[in-house]
Amino acid sequence: MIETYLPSRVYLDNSASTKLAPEVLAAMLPYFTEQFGNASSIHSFGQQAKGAMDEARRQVATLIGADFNEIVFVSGGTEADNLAVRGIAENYRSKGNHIITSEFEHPAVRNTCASLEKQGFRVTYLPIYENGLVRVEDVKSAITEDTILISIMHANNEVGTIQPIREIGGLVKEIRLERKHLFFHTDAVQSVGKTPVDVKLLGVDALSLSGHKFHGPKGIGALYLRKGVRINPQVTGGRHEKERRAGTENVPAIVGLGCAAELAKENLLEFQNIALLRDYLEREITRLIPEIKFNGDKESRLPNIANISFSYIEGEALLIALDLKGLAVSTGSACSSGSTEPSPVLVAMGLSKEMVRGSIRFSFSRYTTQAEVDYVLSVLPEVVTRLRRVSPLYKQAMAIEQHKY
Amino acid sequence: MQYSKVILEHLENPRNVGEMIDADSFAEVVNNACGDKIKLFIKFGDKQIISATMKAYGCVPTISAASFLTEWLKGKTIKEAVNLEVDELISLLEGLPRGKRHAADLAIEALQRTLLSYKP
Ligand SMILES: Cc1ncc(COP(=O)(O)O)c(C=O)c1O
Repeated sequence: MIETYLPSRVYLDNSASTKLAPEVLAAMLPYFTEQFGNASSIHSFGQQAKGAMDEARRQVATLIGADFNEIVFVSGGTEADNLAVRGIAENYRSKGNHIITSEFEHPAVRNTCASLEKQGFRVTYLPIYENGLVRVEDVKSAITEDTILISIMHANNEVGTIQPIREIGGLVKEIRLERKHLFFHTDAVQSVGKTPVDVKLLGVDALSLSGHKFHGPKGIGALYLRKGVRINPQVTGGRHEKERRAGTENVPAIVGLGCAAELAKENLLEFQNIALLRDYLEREITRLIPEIKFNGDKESRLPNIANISFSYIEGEALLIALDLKGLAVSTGSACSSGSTEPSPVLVAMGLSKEMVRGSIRFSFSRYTTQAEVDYVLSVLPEVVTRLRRVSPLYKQAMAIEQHKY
Repeated sequence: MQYSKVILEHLENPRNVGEMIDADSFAEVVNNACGDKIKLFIKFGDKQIISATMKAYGCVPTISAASFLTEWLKGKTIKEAVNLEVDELISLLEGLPRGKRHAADLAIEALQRTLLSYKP
């Protein structure tokens, strides 16, 4: 590939957030200005807003194979997770008291489950294996007479592993032939727009998605809720969103989400080619830098994430050193107030403390170019070598510089 | 995380990296809570510190504080070195972000231990 453009800043942290697509911005703008109506109003201003929202609801529904009425607009992935988990658990409490989730959910699910635990629910946290995947057998054996909800994320945000959601969905359907009140939620915030997501194929009852992870705006997301599944609304008030989520709708953001969903659908096939760039990065890093470890199953993972541990060095130092070179990535290590809070995901995958601390996530978007990846490869080896040279953990003979004065 | 210019500059160009084989004294300190580690080596002259080297593992300010210290120590008397306090080191580093004070604590601990183990 011939690219003369040398990037001055490279953003490979698209799992944290993505750039708003220019088409999305253009679609949103009129709803800040002339078309500012409240979608609940019956005059023409209101009806224009309502029409735009309907269109966005159709676009989002189409992206994930849902029906129009099964989409609830919320303020983002976190709220979608809260609404699904807490909303279903509270609504079906009389039918059972047990929730199954995994050890490596996003805090939006994990902390919601923890808070339900305080309210008397029993929560089972399924283990994650070394490859970053849950096992369907574990789900099966965790289900009891009392289980009302299973919440397992679709693709993990740190390592990108894609969980066996379809298999779990099948299992849930089977069990539901005898026990009506068992529901299955998946947090698909990282997978929507990156890998095919079809709610019917996956067999889920609820699914969370978030606009800013696929070039839509921040602060907007949606919960898919299968027809017939009831929830306790978490925001009460007016009768918006079919009484599932109150509050005047954020029309510009919803329009942006719809537009982003449509673009994601158009680009989905081509997006799979991002794996080629990602694999190129991994291959070259393997060639250029010794003593590294790739985290997460190689087969079942998103095309746009590479999670790599670098022995002997610390993620934050590596991240900041790369940032000084204009390269933005993220790390599973956060050291604050003298105690490291290692990524629960990597810990759950059985990595040693040091490998957890030395982990870096590169996440690509459809805007990522070969020139940007080449830029990474031109700065990364030098930075890793510099930090290893400083590290007292690095015992390689060649690395030990002995001074004599 | 907003780090000062001094801290970032030391991260990019760490000074006096390595183990000093003919050091007069040496110490290794670890922050057990987070795993950060500093090794400090000092060579003393008659009145002053001749040189210092270091190795450091951990977050940015741990590496930078150790690097900064090796430069600062050169030419200082033992008394001056003993009297360096955590807050003074932090201000020499042009401040530390919230939650990162432990980096300066660790660097000062490394210094104190190295000075204590010096038997002239
Ligand atoms: C897997 C997962 N779930 C939920 C969220 C939260 O989404 P939002 O930022 O829209 O609240 C994120 C984003 O950080 C995520 O990666």
